[in-house]
Amino acid sequence: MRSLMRWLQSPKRKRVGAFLALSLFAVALLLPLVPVFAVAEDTPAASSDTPKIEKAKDVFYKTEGIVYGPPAPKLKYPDNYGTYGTFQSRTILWMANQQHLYFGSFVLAVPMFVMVVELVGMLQKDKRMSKKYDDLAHEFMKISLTAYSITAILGGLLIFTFLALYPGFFMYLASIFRPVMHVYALMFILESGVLYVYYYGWDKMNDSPFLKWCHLSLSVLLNTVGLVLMFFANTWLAFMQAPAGVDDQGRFLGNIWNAIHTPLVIPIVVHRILGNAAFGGGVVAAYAAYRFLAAKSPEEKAHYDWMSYTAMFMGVLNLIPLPFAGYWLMREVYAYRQQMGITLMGGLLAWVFIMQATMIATLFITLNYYLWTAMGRMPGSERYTRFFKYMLLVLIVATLTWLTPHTLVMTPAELKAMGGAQHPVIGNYGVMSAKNTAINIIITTTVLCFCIYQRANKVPTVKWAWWGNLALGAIFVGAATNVIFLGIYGYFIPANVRIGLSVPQVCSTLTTLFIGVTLNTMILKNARSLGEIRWGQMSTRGAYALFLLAVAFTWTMAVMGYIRSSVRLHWHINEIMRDASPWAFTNPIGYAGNINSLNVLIFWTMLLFVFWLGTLTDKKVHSTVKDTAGEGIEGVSIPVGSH
Amino acid sequence: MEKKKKGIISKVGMWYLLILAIFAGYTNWLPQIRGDAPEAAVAVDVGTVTPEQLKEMGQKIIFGTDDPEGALRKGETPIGKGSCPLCHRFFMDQKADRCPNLIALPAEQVSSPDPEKLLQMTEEERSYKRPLTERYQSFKEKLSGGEPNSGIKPHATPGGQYLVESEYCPNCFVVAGFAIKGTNDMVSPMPIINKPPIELTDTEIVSVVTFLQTRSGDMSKGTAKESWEAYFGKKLGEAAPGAVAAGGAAPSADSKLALDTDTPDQIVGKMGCFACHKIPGIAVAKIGMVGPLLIEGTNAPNRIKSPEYRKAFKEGKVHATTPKEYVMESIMTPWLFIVPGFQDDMLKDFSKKFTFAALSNMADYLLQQTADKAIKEGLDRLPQEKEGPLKKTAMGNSDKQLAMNN
Amino acid sequence: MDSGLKIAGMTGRRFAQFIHYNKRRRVCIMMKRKTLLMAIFSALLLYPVISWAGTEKYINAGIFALIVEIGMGLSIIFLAWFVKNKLKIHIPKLMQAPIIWGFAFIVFRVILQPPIPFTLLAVYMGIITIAIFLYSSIDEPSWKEFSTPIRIMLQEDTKNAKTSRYIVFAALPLLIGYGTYDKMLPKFEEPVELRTVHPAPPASINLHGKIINLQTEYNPFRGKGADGKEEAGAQYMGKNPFAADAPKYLQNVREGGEIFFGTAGCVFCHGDNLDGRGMFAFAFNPIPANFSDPGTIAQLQETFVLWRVSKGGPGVPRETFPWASAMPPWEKHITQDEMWKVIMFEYWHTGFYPRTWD
Repeated sequence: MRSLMRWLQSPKRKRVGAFLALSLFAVALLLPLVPVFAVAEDTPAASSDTPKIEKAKDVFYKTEGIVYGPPAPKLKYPDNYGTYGTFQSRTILWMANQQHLYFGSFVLAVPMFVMVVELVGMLQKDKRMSKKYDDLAHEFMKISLTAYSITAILGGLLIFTFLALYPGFFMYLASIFRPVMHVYALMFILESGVLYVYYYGWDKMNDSPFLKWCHLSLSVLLNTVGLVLMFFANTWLAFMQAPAGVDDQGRFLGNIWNAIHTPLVIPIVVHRILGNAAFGGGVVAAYAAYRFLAAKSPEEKAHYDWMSYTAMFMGVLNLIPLPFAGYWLMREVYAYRQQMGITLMGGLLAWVFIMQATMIATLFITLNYYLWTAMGRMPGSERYTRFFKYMLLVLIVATLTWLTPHTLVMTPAELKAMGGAQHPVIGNYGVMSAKNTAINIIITTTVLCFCIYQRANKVPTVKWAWWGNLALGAIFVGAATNVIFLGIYGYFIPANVRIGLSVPQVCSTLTTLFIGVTLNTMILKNARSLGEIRWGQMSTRGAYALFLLAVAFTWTMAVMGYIRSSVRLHWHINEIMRDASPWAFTNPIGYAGNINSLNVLIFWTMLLFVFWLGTLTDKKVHSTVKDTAGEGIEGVSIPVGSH
Repeated sequence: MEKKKKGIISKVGMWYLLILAIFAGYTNWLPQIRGDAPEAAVAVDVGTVTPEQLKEMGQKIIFGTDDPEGALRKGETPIGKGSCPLCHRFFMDQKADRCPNLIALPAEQVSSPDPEKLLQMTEEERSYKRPLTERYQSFKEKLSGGEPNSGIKPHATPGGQYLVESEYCPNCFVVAGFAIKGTNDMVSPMPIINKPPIELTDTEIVSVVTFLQTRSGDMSKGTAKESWEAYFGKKLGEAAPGAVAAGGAAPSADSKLALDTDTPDQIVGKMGCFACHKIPGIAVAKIGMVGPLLIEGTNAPNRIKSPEYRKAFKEGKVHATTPKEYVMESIMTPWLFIVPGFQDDMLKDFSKKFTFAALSNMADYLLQQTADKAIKEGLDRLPQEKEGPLKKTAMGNSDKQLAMNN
Repeated sequence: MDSGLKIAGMTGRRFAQFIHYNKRRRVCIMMKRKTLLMAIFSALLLYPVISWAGTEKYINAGIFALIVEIGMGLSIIFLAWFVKNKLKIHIPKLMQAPIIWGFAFIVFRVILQPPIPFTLLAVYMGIITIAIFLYSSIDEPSWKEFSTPIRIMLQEDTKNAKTSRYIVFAALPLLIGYGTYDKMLPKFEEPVELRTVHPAPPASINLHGKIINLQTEYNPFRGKGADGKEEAGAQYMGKNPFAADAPKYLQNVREGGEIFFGTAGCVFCHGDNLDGRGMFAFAFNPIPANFSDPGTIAQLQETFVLWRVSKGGPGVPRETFPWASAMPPWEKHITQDEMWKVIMFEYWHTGFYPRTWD
């Protein structure tokens, strides 16, 4: 064993070893899937024993399948529903779900960051930086650990709520996803095991490079298990929204893959992964911002300033593609059932979408604001300060357009004064063309802001810098021109052609994001620095902006979840199983807003508890660090964060 | 220091509460719409409702209100459980262009080339044209094995059947340019109306089609029920074809037939004569503006003598020699002789709906109606009738009293 | 101010000379910085003039007016900004905020016509308020400048600070009090009116003893076109009805106009632009129909208009609130022919075509 270790010590082989270890884990990972396939193969055999073989048509895939399960029960109230007093059962379930989801997302998102941060730390040549990233990753993980147990508790609570309040519905769902639910439970155990090994083995495995690579592999495994867990949970709600794998009476047709691979599951999963990551970044950034405000020493301040920036950056990295993932999801929704799409965008839930638009505008403006204030700690950023107000102007004009509703709310007197339900000027801003243009401009401006942030304290030294800047300017101006031109052009063509215009608009924005940022990074290669970032000098406003960002993330998640869930209207499982309870109606938006705010409040109060737990252990760590280690992050000049 | 830290907790907490209050407050300030779950469909016996009721029912399903135009003017889009106005345009000032519009557009609004002027017709008129197009034939060929979602093979005849088919099988014919993108203009974005999520019952669909057919106000165009039955080859309201035998489809069960024992006003009610004709002595038949005033005691003897009728008689088209024969012929085969000034608008299936005795009774009743009776009731001929308005005789109070008692 | 105008009027060459001969370096630098803005400004001034002079056919009066208005607005802003810079007037951030707010309010409340509903105004002003806060705190110096006076007012004990503090703390409760008073004050707002403006017409009407079927009747003064259909009259739009050789159609239009402006006096309510804003119009609620709006006669058949003209307010069904219409039943005053001519005139004057039955 020891010789093997020694053999692995050589730098080349350690990577090979790590790769091998990783593959081993990957194989181990597939083990829990065995029951699924076993069941899948079992199915036809099991039913062929019975003499009566009834065939039915899949409700989505239109394939023939052998009926394997009972039809979806026609639920009756109060027989198939439970109640707690006079509370709305649905609201109770809603809150239980939301809390579980918040903690679940957080617990899944943090290991993703930790993995990236740990990898970045390992790839650093600078020992000090390497240690700094490693500590950061470790600290993230610590926060996530308490949250993990809360997630499990909330998950249990959720299942009990389901069983108590919606037994009929839950039983049916369980009857279809029985094998998957078992795998889910197994995966959960696996996740716990990996998590504990990963966290408690951190310091031990820091000793040798090989062990460190193994540690990172563990992180990959942890994330993979986490993603699979989330995928399974997502399949259930995707099934509820757009079922497949059953016939039109809800009879299971034996193919579990069809029930998992429902029409909307892939976009939902992608959307949720990005959303989770953005949300996790926001939460950690808020945590760091809080520690920053509460910090006593300049070193501590510097550390948490840097941590909040890093977390925010990772969150934002996932936030920017999020609207496009959302767009994709909406396209799939329209493709699945146009009626569902219209209920969302133009029908019953249109005002909720206005609220969601408000949240998106809040997110992007806050983000820009944070970057502007954050540049205050970078020497040389004065060169760009005077442009900020113009960027703000652009953002505000785009936001005004973005938030102009299509249907105006007005009194009869106002209607009379306006001369009709449509305003001749403002009415032009309520349509899709204007909205697409506005959001693309907002995102482009955000990308521009980030590019400026990148170069705030740097002067390019590459020879082609002038040409590079020209090209960069051309990309942004070209993208903005294209977006606005297409937006205006959209008014002059019929609706079916107009829908197609959003694709080139999105492409322009993505060009600025990918090519623009890459080009900017290349220009800044070996750039002359005008001074290091003065970590710890973030303004208080910046910290409060981060809080707003985090709350806005949380709230957006709540409102999007509400939209996604309520678009089923009066169905438990869309078009298969009707909600027969008295709460089958769709709540007005105000009620949803109140519950969302309450949910967010509960979540943050619980998080505060988690953070407080973190500070308890922190004190101990701090004292040991002080006692033993002479060189920690203390007493060392704060290095520049790279980005 | 510790004190300062606590201060920060409360500050941050206040900030959080402020943000949450603003978000929640904003949602409460926005218009509040509660989406109620749809009620279970009301079972309606189509045999007992008049076309007007059917039309109103259709309107309610489409718009969710009896006054869609009023709602539209208030800036709302009236949407009923059929959800049709989300995509289809029903009024000039309504904005919906996802699916084909269901009104006649004025010529200047038609931008694309439209050789057959289909866009300038009402949906009812269009329904007679579309199934005759080559495009429909190509759909028929392509879907000869049955449309995969509904299992229906396109086989609509022009008119109501086309509209019925569009509801049950939107893919059976997709108007050019309105299909889902990338499907080669073949797959409609419209949901199957009798399946979830819209899930209208057969009767409800018939009422919607009736609404579309009779938007012009001409109730005689409301052939939805007949078209439905012809299209599916079964009676409306029967659960499955197999259940026919048990139900006993004897004529007595069908209240749409004029029976031996029916009184004239029952027959007028069942046959919907009042939609087109004014008939003295029948309470409901006071509004018809489509067909001639039915005072056959006065009209019929004159009409058989009229040169137009004599001409048709000589050509062998018509055969009546007595007023009663003339009246019966006009009901059974209305297309053979059209009273001058009118179009061939009358329903042509009465020959299948009258028993012999009922026809005879009805003809007798109509022959008793004369100009005097019409004058007493304040009824007059339509302007286009050749005979001209009835000459009004001075009426005393006693006569008025008499008319009211009638 | 004066020099600003002078500079604005300079051509590019004169401009270059100006910079060359001007020895004062500071002005020079300032000029360079403004060169681009100057060019944009001149283009803005020139554009409407060019478009007006050259392409009258391609730009209609509305767009032209819009361009001129935008140009004028921008020039005023530019001039004000220029003067401010020249005179080196520094407006404190704390003052900038209400100025921007007030300016935005004027734009959304006064300049933007027709007035937007209060809900939208509130959303817009809310965004503007947030934007102003962001603008004031966008970087550290700016935030200091903005917040220092407030901090001084709240914390320091100089005489000025104290006075302003007392004023603020007296004014705040008063403001809140006024807000509460205003909210509690009973208001007499118009209830929501569910009036149907264009009710379903009857199938036929009895006009001067003759039954007119609204579905089949047509305007006898419109000729029939080559296709045998009623003439929409497109070729007569914009032609002179007073010309000596005016065709029959235009003569009828002229007679209709004489009735509109003269004998019947429709003009007093419906206005000389037929926009429902005649001299008596605002004595009525609702105001008379605006024929130039595409939502009125342009959407209706001529027979519908005939019905409304002949039977007036009393003739409309209940859902249209017969009591709310001031339209007299014109059948008691003018002949059917006159009504047809007036209707023809109304369509001709507004440039709309009556809706037809097919």
